[in-house]
Amino acid sequence: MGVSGMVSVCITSADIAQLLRVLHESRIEIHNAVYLDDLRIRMQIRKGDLKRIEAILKRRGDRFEIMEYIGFFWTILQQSKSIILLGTLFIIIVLTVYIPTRVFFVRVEGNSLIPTSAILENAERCGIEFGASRREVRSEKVKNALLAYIPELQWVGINTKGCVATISIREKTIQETGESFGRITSIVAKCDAIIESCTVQQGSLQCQIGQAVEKDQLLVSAYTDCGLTIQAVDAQAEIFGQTFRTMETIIPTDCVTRGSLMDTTTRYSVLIGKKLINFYKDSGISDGTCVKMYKTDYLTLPGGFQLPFAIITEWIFKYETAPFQQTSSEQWLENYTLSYLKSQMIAGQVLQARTSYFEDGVLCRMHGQYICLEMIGQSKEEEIFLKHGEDE
Amino acid sequence: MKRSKGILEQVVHGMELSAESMPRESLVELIAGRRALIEHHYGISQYSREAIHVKVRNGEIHVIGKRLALVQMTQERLIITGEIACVQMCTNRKGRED
Repeated sequence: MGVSGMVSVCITSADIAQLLRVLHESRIEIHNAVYLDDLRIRMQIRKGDLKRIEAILKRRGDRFEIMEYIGFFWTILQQSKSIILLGTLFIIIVLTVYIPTRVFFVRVEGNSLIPTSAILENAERCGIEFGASRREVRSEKVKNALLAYIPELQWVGINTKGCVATISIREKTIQETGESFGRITSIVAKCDAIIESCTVQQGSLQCQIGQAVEKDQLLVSAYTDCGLTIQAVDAQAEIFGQTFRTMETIIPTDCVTRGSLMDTTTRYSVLIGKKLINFYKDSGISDGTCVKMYKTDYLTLPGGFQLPFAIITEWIFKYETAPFQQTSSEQWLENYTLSYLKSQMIAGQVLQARTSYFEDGVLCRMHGQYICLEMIGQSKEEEIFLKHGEDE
Repeated sequence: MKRSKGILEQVVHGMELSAESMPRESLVELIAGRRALIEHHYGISQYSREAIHVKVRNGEIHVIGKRLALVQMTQERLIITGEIACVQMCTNRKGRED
């Protein structure tokens, strides 16, 4: 059966045998001939032979009637009236034209300091998102917008291949970002203190030893009057001062700690885009006796492209609780307070401490007053104007 | 031409070769009394449900049976299906004396 299909015809002839002989001599193929009666025969012929057979029958004075069209071509032709088929064909054609012009996946390459999520988030604001036009994505306008949104970027290039847009970036180095280059900063006091020592590398000192200073008071100025000009620098100095701190530390009298491992449970979830589907019944919120660890495995195509589909595996470790064996609550509180104070200082030490400890049934309290020697200077960036340091 | 054909027939017969090597020689295949294949035919001379007569080079092949149907008829071959009772070769030349 050819692509053009077959035609089932019913022929009425006075001499069917002679008709078949004539058809054979005319090289017309006959299929599935059915003898209906002495005058009629039904057969299938190729659609291409239809005109020839019509001419032969007309010449012989026979009659024929088309009964049915058979084959792929005619099936499609009949179904072409169906709205569903037409609709499907229309959608396929539209998608064939539309899909190659759109971006459905975005990937980032070349970043080391800036997180990929931050770049993708800003890219979305610039128009590089699901379904964006490929032509628009590659425009200079989008690139410039992305550079404006992320100042740490030095260069941005956007390439598209198929439905994937690749954002290639180059990050600025630390010097290029301007963190230390060309900055004009002064040093101010971060808390109330009495100056103990001053060591200035850059800038002009604005305080002296033994002076009491308040929080945010200027200690070292970025500007130095050089007579004809004013020199503006990034002030650098070590200012130590005596500070006074009070602290109150509280812990419960009875504490529990983690004991031995009792049970381990593994749970699975699927993350499709931003939609999370859990394959477990409970809410997923663990109580205090559990430790949870999870791993997210994104489906990645060959070449490193990550699809928005991930399997999340969670491990729940259930532990026994055991009473916390503390030798002395007072000692523990004292050690903790001292280590906390040191962590709050840039550099320094506790010179004197006056503490009082008491218990009120369920809580242990320690109230302390501390005299510390610590670095009190902190940088404050100066505002830079267009004609900074120049006479009008 | 006829003379050359006669010589060819004599050669084939003399060398006891298969008749299939003869050009345009009719060939009949019968499968389980249900299907008959006739190759190198010259058309149909009679057609009904009980008998189909097919012209071949040396005469006619009569396929006789019930509910006969012509499944396919091309330039080269012809297939008949139905309850075939007998297939008869009616030659229109004098029999050969071997």
